[in-house]
Amino acid sequence: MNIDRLDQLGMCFIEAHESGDLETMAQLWGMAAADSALNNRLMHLESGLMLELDGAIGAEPIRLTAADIAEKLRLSETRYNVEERAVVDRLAQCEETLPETLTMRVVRGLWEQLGLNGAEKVARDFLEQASALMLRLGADQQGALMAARAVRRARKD
Amino acid sequence: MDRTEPPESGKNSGKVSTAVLQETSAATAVELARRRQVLETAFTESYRALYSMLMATLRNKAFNLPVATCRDRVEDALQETFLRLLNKVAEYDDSRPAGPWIRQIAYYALMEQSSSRQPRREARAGDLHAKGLTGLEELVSGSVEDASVAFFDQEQVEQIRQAAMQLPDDFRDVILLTVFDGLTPAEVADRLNLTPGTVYVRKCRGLSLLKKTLNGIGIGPEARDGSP
Repeated sequence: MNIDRLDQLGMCFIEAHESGDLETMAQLWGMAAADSALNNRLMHLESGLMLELDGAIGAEPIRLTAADIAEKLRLSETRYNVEERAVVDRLAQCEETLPETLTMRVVRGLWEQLGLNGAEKVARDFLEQASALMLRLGADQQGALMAARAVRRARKD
Repeated sequence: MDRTEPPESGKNSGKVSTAVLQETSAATAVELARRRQVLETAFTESYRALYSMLMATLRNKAFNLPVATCRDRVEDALQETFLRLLNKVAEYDDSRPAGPWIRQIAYYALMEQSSSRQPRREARAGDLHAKGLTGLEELVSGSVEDASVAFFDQEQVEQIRQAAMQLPDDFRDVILLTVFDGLTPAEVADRLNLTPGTVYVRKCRGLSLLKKTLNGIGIGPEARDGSP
């Protein structure tokens, strides 16, 4: 018979996951930090469970916020002047979700709502980045987007 | 001796020391920034898996929470995880993968978000053993290479095979191929057109079911140890 210690620990992992035993899950990952074979096994199990859970993160579609797009603008190589950077900073504070269909008219409406003036270049880039992001918002991008939001919130705190 | 060149003195040594300290301090700051970047990347890469796993854990019947509550708690726990990572940058040993460490912190953070709100404790193999998982300390330490020795009597292998034949199809096929025929999960995945991850999950679930069946008929590890 072919059962090893990793199978036994794997059984603990699955049983802990299914019974909601957070402490055992944490302990197993703690052990895996110093045990590459266990880490490898748990990663396999996690990916197997992820397939079963597929759609859990996408059960409710992620809606983009102005802050998500502002983050992209900050990371882009576009050079903005002081006034334009101030607009990007203001957008970065706006966590309201954007409508599913984004047009220049909607962007101008957002500018008006936030009391922003000018910065046409930022408005165009904003629309372009938002459209590109909406097109490729698959599961992995959703995860990355949510991680970026967690990082932003943590930094604000 | 050239009088313009000052002799080596305590004061001069002090200047050198200050320069060395400044250099060391700058090097440390650069190193910490690099580690922070590594952790942030690892956090982003782990986020989707962690989010799904934590959501699934909270949504099971043990917690029985509304979806919106689960989502809020998971998002808060992951935000807290990132904050803790930032606070522990100096402790991070980057010769090891960050993924398990991030997951450990996330599960503890979620545990604290949950109703029990127990303080975080460090992992100990003995805690798992205390949960009644026979032989786990030896398994964790790697001193038992073949767990079948600890859990099953070799003479009862045929009985166990018969019990395995009664498992639901998905589990039975994986158990027979991996446990009895000795195929690797990758080979089984290839043969059954599954991912290796799915094979590992089915093997573990199949083994758990098998263990319960064997205990029920009096030849499992719990029956042998006399535990309930």
